[in-house]
Amino acid sequence: MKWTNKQYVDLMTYNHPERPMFSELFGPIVGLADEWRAQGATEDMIAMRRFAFDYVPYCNLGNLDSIHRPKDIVLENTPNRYVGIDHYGRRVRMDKRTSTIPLPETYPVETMDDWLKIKHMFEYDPSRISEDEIMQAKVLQDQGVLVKSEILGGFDILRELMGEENCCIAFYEDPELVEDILGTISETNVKVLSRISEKLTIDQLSVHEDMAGKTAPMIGPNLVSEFIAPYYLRSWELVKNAGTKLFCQDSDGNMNPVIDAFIEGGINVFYPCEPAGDMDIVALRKKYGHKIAFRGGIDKHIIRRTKEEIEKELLYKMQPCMMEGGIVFGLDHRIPNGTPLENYIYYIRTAREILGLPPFEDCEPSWGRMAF
Amino acid sequence: MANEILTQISEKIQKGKTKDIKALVPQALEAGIPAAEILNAGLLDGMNIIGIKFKNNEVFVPEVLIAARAMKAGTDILKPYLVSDQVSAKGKVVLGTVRGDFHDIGKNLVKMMMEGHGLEVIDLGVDVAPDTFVKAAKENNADIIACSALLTTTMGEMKNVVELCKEEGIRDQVKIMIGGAPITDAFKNEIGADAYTSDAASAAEAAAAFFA
Repeated sequence: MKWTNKQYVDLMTYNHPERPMFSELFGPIVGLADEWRAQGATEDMIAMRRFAFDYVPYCNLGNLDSIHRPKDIVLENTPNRYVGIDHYGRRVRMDKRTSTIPLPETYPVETMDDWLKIKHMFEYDPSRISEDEIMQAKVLQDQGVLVKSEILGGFDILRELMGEENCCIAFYEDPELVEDILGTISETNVKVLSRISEKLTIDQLSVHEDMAGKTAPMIGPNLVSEFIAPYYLRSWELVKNAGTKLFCQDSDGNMNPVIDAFIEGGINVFYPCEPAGDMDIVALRKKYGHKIAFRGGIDKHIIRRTKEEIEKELLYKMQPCMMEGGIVFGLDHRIPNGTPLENYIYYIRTAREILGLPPFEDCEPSWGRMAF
Repeated sequence: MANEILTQISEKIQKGKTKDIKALVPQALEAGIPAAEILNAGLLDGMNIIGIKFKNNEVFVPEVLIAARAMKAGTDILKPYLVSDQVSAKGKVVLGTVRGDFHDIGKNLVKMMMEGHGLEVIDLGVDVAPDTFVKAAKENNADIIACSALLTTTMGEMKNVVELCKEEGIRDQVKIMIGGAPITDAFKNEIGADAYTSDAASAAEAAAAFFA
């Protein structure tokens, strides 16, 4: 079912949701389509539409990313391997047989001088947002489309520019550099978001961090509180005062140790809440009540196991305390390779039954990515 | 006096104070404390405590990195004394991220933690083929091969490492450790590796336990 922005915001703010929302946030991983075709899947199933998922259409407003980027340069591109120089001047490489994202070998920022050379890419420029774009978004919003703006991740951008190890060390050994980078981006965020908020209320502020492994986040609550939360708050306070209700963070892995610190920074929606990273949405609901909401939270690995394990996972995740709103039920990331189609259909049928939704076969086909 | 300096060294390691370590280690040597004692009761003690705190989510990657940097500064000063005293590492580990995988932060943390347990680590880097692991293990007479993988698409390479060790006749001489985001204990059993650990500190503890 297609939801409106208002219905979605109501759901995520626990404001008398009409019914639970059941979605597929990301869709299948590369290669799964072929597996499912061999098992008899229709193209409507491959495209996810046959399963009648709930979704809210959305659009992004304002460019808060780097601008004036140099073009990527391809150094080597064979069937198995890609090597190039990307828009930050990083040498990147990828084994195409195993990966879809090229990883950097080098990074542009080690010192303040390095940063000053590329700082202009992060500064405010009127081209980042136009009146026309705002007006177009307003028209869409009035039709029920969710309008989001996305700020750069406070940890994520430092990692992109400096590499994981150097950025981690910089928090202690070069905090002025960290503050200058985040301060510059923050200024840009404030200018763009101010222009937008004069004309419309952003439905959701988003931020991508992906800053945690299986057992812990990369940085702890002390550094989040000192550097990242203040960076978040400058943008969040501005849009919140203009009526925005949702501030959503995307991070895989175990974020438990830093949830409180990010709540201080304004985050009130966490996703995708990966159980393999010890993120348990039921335990989090019991701990935080209606203070935070979630998208995802259902273990993608379970769908490869037995039907009993699938049912157990759903009965646990969809228990009464989770039916008060504040959640979009869905797998915690892409549907993994090796997921039997039969199990996936069983998962959909069982989830819909527990949630009190009609069987997908009786519904209009629908799906939209919910990774925002 | 000796205990006081060693305690200070351990505390400064935990706080990642490289400058202080560079001052304290020579001071300890001048006070007549044997290099091996400075290493074990000072530098490695501090690193072990950091490892425990890391495992308990009391400190995180940045704190481990600055502690490891301070420890390296200390061991660099001690190295000539340790050589002349004929102090050797507890064991030798060949470490790398498997073929097709370019992720390295997990591997690098494992290296730091293992060195913090007094092990010598030969870091083969990322995208390491099975034959490179095996060749390095043979050439260095390693006790452990440690493989890291972040991707589900590359974790299968770990099985190739195990199989190649069998083919090359060194399986009985090396322990094979595996780790990384998609790895589980069940996968360790499936491929016939010797140990799986979920974080860098546990990996170092498990490696050290092979020499206990």
